[in-house]
Amino acid sequence: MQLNRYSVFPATDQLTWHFPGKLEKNQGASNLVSKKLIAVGGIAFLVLAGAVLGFWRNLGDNTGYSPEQPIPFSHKLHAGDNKIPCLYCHADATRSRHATVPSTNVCMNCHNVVKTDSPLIQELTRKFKEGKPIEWVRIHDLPDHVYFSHKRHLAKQIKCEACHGNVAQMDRIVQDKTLLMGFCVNCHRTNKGPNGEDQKGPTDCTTCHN
Amino acid sequence: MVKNMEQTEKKYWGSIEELERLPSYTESLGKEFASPPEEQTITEMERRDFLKVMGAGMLLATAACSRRPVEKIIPYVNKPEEIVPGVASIYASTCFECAASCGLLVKTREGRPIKLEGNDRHPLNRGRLCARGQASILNLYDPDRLKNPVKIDRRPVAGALENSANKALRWDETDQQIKNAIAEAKNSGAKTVVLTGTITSPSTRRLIADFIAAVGPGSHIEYEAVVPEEVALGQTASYGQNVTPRYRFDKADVIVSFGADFLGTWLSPVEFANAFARGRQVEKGKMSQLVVCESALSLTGSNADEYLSVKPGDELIVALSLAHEIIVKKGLSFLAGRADVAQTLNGYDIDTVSRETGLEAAALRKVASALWKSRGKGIVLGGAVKAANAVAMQTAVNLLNSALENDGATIDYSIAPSNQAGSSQASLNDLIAEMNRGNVGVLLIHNINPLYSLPSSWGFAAALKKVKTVVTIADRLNETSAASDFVCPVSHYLEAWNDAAPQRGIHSIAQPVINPLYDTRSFQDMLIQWGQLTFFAGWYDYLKAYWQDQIYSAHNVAVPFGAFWEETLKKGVFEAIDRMEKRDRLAPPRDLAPTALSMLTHRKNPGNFGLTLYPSVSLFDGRSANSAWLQELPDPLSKITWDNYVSMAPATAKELSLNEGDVVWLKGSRFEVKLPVHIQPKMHSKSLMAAIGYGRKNAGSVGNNVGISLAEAQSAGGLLQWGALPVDSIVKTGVQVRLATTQGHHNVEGRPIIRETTFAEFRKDPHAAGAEMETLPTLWPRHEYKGYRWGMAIDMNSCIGCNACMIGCQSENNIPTVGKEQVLKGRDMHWIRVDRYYAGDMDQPEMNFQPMLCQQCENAPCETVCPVLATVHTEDGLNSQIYNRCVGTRYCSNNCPYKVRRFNFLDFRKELPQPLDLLLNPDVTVRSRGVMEKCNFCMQRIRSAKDKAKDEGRKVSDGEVLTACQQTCPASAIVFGDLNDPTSLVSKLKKSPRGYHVLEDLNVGPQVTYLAKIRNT
Repeated sequence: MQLNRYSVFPATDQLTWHFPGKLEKNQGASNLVSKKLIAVGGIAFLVLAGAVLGFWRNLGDNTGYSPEQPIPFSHKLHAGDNKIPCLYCHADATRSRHATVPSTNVCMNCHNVVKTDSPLIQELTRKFKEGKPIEWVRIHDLPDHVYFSHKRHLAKQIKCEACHGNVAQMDRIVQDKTLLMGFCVNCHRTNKGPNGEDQKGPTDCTTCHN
Repeated sequence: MVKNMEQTEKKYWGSIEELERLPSYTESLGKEFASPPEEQTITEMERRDFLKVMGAGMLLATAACSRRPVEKIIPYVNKPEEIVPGVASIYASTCFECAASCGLLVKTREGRPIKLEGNDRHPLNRGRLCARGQASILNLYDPDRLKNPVKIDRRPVAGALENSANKALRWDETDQQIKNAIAEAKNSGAKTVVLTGTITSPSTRRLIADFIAAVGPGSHIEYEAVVPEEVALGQTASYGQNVTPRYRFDKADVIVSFGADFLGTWLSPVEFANAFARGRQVEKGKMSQLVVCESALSLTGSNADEYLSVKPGDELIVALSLAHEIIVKKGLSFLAGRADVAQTLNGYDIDTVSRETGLEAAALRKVASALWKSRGKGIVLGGAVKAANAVAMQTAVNLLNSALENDGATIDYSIAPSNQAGSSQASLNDLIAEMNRGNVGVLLIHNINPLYSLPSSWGFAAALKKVKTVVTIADRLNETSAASDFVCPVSHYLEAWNDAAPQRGIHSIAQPVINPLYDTRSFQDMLIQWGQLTFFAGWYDYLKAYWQDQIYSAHNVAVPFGAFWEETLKKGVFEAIDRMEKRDRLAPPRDLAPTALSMLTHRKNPGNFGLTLYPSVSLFDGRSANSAWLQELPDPLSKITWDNYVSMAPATAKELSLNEGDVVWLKGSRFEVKLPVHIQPKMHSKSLMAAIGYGRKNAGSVGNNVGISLAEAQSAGGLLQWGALPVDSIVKTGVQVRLATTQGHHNVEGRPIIRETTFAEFRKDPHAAGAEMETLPTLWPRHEYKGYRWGMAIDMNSCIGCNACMIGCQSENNIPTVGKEQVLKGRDMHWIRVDRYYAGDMDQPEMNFQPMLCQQCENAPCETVCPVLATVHTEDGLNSQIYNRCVGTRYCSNNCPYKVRRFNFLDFRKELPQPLDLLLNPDVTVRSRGVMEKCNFCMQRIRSAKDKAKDEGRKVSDGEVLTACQQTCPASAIVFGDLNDPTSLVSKLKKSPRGYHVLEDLNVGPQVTYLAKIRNT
């Protein structure tokens, strides 16, 4: 199921603001009303401020994003059950900064003969024959001012799962990690190589921004 | 450093306002920005409305921010094997922006060209490219391009473009109608004439001949305004050989140019600038001397070691006086015995000419003796295109070159002469006569815009009316197409096949790097269609067959044609002959024909002043006037953008009490024109000059009505003239305009930022320029550079100020143009600029060019003042600028001593019309409003070189990272590399005795080393 964290206001459990309980003490009857007003106003203000702050903490966080795709392609079936390696389809990941979504002819390598009776595959074949591309909805999407290279990360033997989660278990792809700057920088600061050796990434701003 | 400051005797100044301490200068001192920021859209809003909008905005913002807009990933259906998304593909091609035809490498990303670079395997431009070549990619994505064939009802000629009778056609309809018109002309015995600009493609030339042979009587006329056709006319007169020689500047020790701007616009500027710089490598003991004698200041003149400023038209007698001194007075050279030569030169002795021109006799004698001393190793050039006495000038030059035995040595007339000047205004004149006689039935006009460039007195417009069918083949609806029947949209040169042979033996190929964006065709495909040359499937077929029959078969190539073709496509060029580059002499000097001497008559300029028209370095003849990059590129000398103007000497302006920007009325016997005044030091007091290429009426939304057209001014009777046009009076109109100059934006305030010395001094003491670098104490902890430490060296002795780096940078780094209004406010965005400084008195100052870009300081003043750490030091020594952190305080810019930071006052990208967005470099962030930006040493290029090096498990090698400015610099003045590597070129240059840092005493520790300028006086 899609995680429901896209409401306008974020979940309040993330708030770390506590209302100080001092107002309960030493309150005179005469200024009770005004103090009540202050209290209500204060609470309202703090809730709002907290909401805004909490919202900002998650600004740009798309974790859980899992839109419907034009063809309900299942990574669980392909990568999980049938154990097709990620790089069979996302072949450019080792050559380019983009992992790239495979072109339709890659699908047709197998689906020329596999499951040709399925209406979805027939739809795919039809599009292929008509020369029409499939318009997938982008999920893992870094801002335009970020430079990220799949090639460099794969060369350092970073696992695909480190950023994309356990894709082999996803029927429909869902964004598993925040992919916010903190997520990137934490890994660059602490990453260990396959044998536990120190393998930190650079943390210069220009590593990712220019 | 203080010691050095005192030693510097010369005072450098950037503008007359600065030299004279005029109020406009003193008021600007200490101001960082010419004007405060302004609102992008000005709307009056009351407080209550404001709150309402704010409230709604908050809600909308929070709602909108919860999800970014949905983006699609659209993969290929069938991915071409050679394309990897995110990795650039590079194709070799040829530049067709002008007739020089330099070799290109086109960088494409996901099938769209994004950057042009010179092809380093091309013998002509050796990997370099000029500003116009760099900018020609912008024309591909010009939103004003014509998208389909158009039929124009030209009966009401005036305002034909707005005519509702303009009708879009399909190609099949167009083809049929044009074929019918051609058949009709043939039947009635009328001619079909192809009128083109200079054609350097041998296969196209052949195709045009085939076309004319197929369609019946006809001819091919070549005319281009700017190419120096008088060189070939002069060669014919002097030697009986119709040839435009190849000039070998790298072999020359003394170069004397009489008004030929060979570093800027003359014949093959990139090739010449590159060779010129190779002949001036002082560290190798090579330093040619450049003497320029001219009346209108050119880029070449501004680089002269010896500048002889004369009245318009007097260049000829100066040349004759040099010939007199050498041949007659000293009796030197093999021409000394010829009585007819002595007879012709009689009366042109140096003393007489010196009296007449006001030049010092000693200076002329010095030039004459230098020329003789370097005989066989000198070049004498005759120049300004279309001067009244152009052929006489060429004859004088040929006389000198023959006498000095330069002919056949530095002037190659036999091995690989140039094909870059094919043009004949005489045959154009004949064509007009023939059109008037009604002999022309169909006229095809390609790559030339006569209704803009010709004066109305030539009667081209009237003659056009006598032609039954006029077809213009153009990329837009221009001035000429408005008066034609059919306008056929031609593909950009990056969308089509082509070839070029700019010099004999260089066969350069052009291949399409993108499918035509619109329903356009190549010129050649149109000819094949209309001439019904259907035994070829198309132009590609024709071209390939031509290469197989004419080029491949004629030379002993070891591989089969298929392999040869593939290899040539990859290389971009096939060198058919040995050009004997190493050889000093290629052929014996030719003897001057006796008949040539009759050409040498000097006509005195009748006018009070002489006006010279010149093609500017940025706009050339105005063909790319719709290019915002070129319009905003400051003129190398005046630093003015978005305008043309009449330049005059300070003395002249003073005498006529004119100020900068005063609009004056120039009145000659044959023309009148109103232009704003620019006061240009170094000009002769009787000389005026103004740039052509402005004042287009149908260039497009950018170029329309920018500046004033000077087409009418060239009609000084008979053939077209650009030089020494007589001007009788200059009348002040009382109107004043502001010229958008960029030099006045930042002031040096007398600080010694230029170091220079003479070649003689330099040979005695390499440190003579007073350039010296010392490590000053600092309170800041020094940075530690463990890996790379990027640095740059800029050789001011090589830099010729041509501005190619500025467009190279603009193209690479997605730099916006801002328009004239914003330039006036000091908001130009160029990351690298070329500052021009004068030194000395106001009338005849020396000139210096200094490329200025972010110096990537060690103790960077910008870094310490940024409140949000948006500009920080990287571990390889750059001052990074992190756009997404920047909040736009502009403190950094205020604190920058070099004034190289650029602020996005407005969102210059917001209204980028399609398809200009396709041009953006996807490796460089597009900046938005409120963000500071600046040079980052082409970070993306460093990153991509590092990426490759990491793959191969090595360090980045020296010369592997070329910044965009360095890559394109025709003079190779810029060197970039790793300062941590002691063997790198940039490390060695940093230790050069000429090396210095600009404003070193500020102790900011710049990473850019400048190398002092050497003058060979």
